[in-house]
Amino acid sequence: MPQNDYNSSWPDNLIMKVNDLEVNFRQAGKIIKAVRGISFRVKKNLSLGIVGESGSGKTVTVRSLMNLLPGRGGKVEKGEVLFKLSDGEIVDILKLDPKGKKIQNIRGNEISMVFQQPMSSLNPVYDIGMQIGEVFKFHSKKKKAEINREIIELLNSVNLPKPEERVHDYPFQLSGGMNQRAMIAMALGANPQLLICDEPTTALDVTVQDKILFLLERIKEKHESSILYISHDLAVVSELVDEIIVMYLGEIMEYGNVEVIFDNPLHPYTELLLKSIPELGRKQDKLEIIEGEIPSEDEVIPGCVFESRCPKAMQICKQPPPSIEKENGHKVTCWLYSQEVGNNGK
Amino acid sequence: MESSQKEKSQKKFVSRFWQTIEKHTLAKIGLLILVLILFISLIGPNLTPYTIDEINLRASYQSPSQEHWLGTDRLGRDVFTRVSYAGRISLLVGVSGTFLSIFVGVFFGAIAGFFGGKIDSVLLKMQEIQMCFPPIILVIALMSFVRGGIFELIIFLGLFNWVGAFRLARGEFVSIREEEYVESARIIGASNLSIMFKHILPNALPPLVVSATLQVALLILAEAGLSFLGLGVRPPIPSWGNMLSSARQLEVLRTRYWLWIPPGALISLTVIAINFLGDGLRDAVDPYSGI
Repeated sequence: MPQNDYNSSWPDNLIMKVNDLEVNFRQAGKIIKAVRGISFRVKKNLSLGIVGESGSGKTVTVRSLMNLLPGRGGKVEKGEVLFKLSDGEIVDILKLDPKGKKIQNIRGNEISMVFQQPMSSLNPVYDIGMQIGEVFKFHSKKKKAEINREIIELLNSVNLPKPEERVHDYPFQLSGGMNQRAMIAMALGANPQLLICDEPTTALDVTVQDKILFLLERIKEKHESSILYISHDLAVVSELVDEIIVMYLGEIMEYGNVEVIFDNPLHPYTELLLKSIPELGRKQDKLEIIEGEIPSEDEVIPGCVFESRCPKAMQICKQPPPSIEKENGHKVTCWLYSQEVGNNGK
Repeated sequence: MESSQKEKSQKKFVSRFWQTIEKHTLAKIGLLILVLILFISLIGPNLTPYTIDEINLRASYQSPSQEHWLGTDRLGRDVFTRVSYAGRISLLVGVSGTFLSIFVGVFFGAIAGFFGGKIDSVLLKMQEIQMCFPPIILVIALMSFVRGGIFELIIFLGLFNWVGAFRLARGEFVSIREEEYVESARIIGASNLSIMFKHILPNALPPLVVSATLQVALLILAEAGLSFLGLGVRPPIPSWGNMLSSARQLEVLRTRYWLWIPPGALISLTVIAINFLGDGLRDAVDPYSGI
């Protein structure tokens, strides 16, 4: 049992631990750093949100959590993704063979995922019942009649109207919201411990978005699973998640409880992000914006990645910033809060 | 409940097929001709009192009449019996040769397109090597070497005509493997095999069906050509090709039209009909065709 050495320091309420994950893409001889060494934890029965602009490495991060990167040209440079299986064994997902039996047994069964585009995430040649049924086929030994009953039950639980008829429908016969419900049903089929949602509501309109969020919340309570929710929409995330990771250019800027981060953002980037949300009832001529542009991913940045756009940038920001832990696990990666700067910087 | 579900989806497919065929006049004509030819070749030999190799020297070279609808050949064999039986042979060679070639092409094309990398480049090189040798020359060489019959003919025609299906299947797999529904199948724990053949292949089928239809016509022509050269189906088993071949004398061509018109016309008709049907299928598959 080589895995046992992880066990000693494994808290009970943890299901996933990501340590120093670094992912690079190679393109035309250039190395593009998509994820620059991030670490975080996913706790049992809690939802964690990852927010950031486009290109901040959110999607690449969660793809590597399921060891899905190799087909897409990305390479995990270093780091580990430790995951506690439901039978108690702790595995490093990145060390598993990406096409092997073990990872196939984790995908769908222990960790599942819902995508951004519900229309293109379902196979056009099969009806949705058959596609949901596949989860059962892969991960359980149930009989066909029993599976059929459970598919309908699942569709019912994601509030798809008339599930008995809808199971025979093809994805093109359903609306975007209905497809997304079918996708969620598919992801929930094997009752996974961790449900990853990669911007599941981006392609849907606002009313449907709200219903899907409500559904996800109920699922979390009912199935006692953890949710990893990725979005670029802070308002959406704040409704659903318990903890937030703010990412910028492949690095974690700030991490903490939702209320704490919204009330008391420490990192200048988070502050600016929150300011750029339009607020109902507040008179505004112009929305706040963050000056400048995201540097290109292949640029070598020795110091803080946000330094080029940060209004509070200092001389010391050219050096790699420290990760500082404040009260209640609130973490921020910024020079502003380090001891040395705090004393003589301002 | 299970069976009703299956019936429902089958009905859907069939009705979609009919809808496109109905709107496409040429495809309708093609299908009609094909069904007719199939019908004649299946029951034709049983309609006459003769067999394909019944020699009757006293009735040699008779012109079409009540007893012999399409006359007789030099040995007094009934041409109608032979030409309709030959239809079975030609269609058998065309269809099973196509199945074999599509199978081989799709198998390698799926592997090349799905896995990419080294396997892909090795298979692509194999395909390029194959393309350097005209399949018909290879089949001629091998058939004269093994002196084979129908079975060998089908095998060789099938094995050397895989390039078209390979290229099509590979292209489809390369593009479809990047689709999100393939990724979502992987996410729920599908194995490579299941992804390749259950999730990608059905989506890659439409262009393959079209090319398969046209391939049948090509192989029927190839069979006719080879039999004409004496390398395909061997007498006394009739095929349209070897019937033409035995009518290859100036005197026969000039005066005994019933020996060469029926097999020749049937070859052309079959090939044209299959091409019409293939056209219709292509339009059915292509959403931009405007039909």
